[in-house]
Amino acid sequence: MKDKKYYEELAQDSMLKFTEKEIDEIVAKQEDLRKEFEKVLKIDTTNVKPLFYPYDDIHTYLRDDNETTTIDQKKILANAPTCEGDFVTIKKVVK
Amino acid sequence: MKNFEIIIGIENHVELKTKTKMFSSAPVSYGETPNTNVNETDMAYPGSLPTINKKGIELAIRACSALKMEIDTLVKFDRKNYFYPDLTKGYQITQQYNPIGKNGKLIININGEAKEVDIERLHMEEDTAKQIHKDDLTYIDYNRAGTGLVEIVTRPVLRSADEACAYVEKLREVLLFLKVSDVKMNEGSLRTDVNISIRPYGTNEFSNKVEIKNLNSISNIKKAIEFEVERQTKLMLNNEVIIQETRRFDDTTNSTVSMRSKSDALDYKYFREPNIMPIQLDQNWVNECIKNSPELADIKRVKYTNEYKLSNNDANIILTSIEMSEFFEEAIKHTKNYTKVANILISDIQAQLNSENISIDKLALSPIHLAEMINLVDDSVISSKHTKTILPIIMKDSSKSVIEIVEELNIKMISDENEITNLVNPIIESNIELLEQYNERPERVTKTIMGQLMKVTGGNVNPEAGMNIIIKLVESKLK
Repeated sequence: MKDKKYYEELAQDSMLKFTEKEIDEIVAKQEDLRKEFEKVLKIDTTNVKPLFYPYDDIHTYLRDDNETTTIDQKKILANAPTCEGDFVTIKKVVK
Repeated sequence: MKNFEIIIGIENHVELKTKTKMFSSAPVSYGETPNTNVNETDMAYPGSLPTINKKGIELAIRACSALKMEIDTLVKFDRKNYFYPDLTKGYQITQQYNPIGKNGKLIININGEAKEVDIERLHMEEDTAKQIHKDDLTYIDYNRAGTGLVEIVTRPVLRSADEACAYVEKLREVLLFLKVSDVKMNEGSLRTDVNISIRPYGTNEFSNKVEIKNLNSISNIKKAIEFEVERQTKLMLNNEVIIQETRRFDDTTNSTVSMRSKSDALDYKYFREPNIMPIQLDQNWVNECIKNSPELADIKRVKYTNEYKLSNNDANIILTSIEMSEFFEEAIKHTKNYTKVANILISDIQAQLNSENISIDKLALSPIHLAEMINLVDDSVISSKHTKTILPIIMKDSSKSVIEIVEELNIKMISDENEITNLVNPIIESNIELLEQYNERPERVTKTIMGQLMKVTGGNVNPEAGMNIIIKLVESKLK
């Protein structure tokens, strides 16, 4: 089980901030999930290789470096919370 | 300082020279208006999916082959997760678990001795957006986001700042001539991170590793390493702990400054990229990519000195620029005077390029024009001094052939015996007293007449033919 401290550190690493209440909720949710997964953990996976993709097929498709597509700068800037001139802007987070 | 051994490993991020991005079809072009070379995939719009750029894979294969790496033909990608505005998706597509190349080597030259640098891995990934931090805001340009990169990582085998610089210079040359990348450090298409630790000679324990990120010139690499070695040495001699951290180089103070320490390092939680299935490359196609790789500078260097008889220095100057070397090679298809081509390239043309701050492919001058001009000198059609007149013209305008320009300027050398005789005779007639000195000071007499001949013809007489005729006429006059 991961405790409150673990989630506080994880939030810090992810540059997020959680309230005490939110952390408590996450810890409680984790306990619920653990109970659900107890059934899954009982499945015997000895000698079963992990599967990362839904299919085992190997693909060969590669895109040719020819055709270019862009979207209008106005759309990009309109979709950003804030912008200035040609740039998307955010509040500075680095020192 | 001599009591400590220096241990350096280097990571280079190299922007791939493709027309489109690594995982989207948005164009790759430096210096465009911000946020114009962007599409749905780069901005992580819902439903957009990555596709792999074939050329990007080909360029990575070229680099792997030149670096003598084992190439993994089953291409797989992973996600490196972090929440930051320079990547809209919240993760970077990279190759954490299956790099396309591993276990390579690059030979560098240190004070005349060869050293083999072990390269651990080369993997493909995507670049991030460019950020400009100003006052309370960060300005983001997503044009660079998604541009294909290869990251090339050495093992910690370098032992000095000079070795580190030699390695980056050599790697730069290899990637430039393979046309994998523009490798412009000032534009960020080649970025260098250096990992440094030290240890007392004879011990096995390293000090904590310090990483200096994003060094943007060879001289800064040298200065940053030298500063860092001195800083770590002082700490170790004072029994202080060298903190494992990431630092940056401040070129105004020539020192390194702490950016972040290990204690708040991010956990990237890598996992397989589920949107890109593993891709099996066709071995025949891989072989073709390697076979069709452009010639490396090392091979050209041998050819330039052995076959074309250039000096090492001249060969190296031409090989500092891929455009210059291509120009040289094209020009010598049209003239046998290889040395003259090299001389003009290195002197007059290079001076022009420096003054305009451009590369040779931006001049109107064609290799054929340069060769034609040199051939006209070698065939005594024009004098070598007239190259100074012709060159500035053909560097700006390629619409006329060199011989057309020569005729227009009326600078063709006169070699015809009758024509020269007709020109010399009146000069001799008006200098009869001078001829009396011929027995005592023949050179003074002939050179004076030659000077006058050149004056009346604007320097257009073939000097050798002119001198022969002058001697012949003077001697016949004295008989």
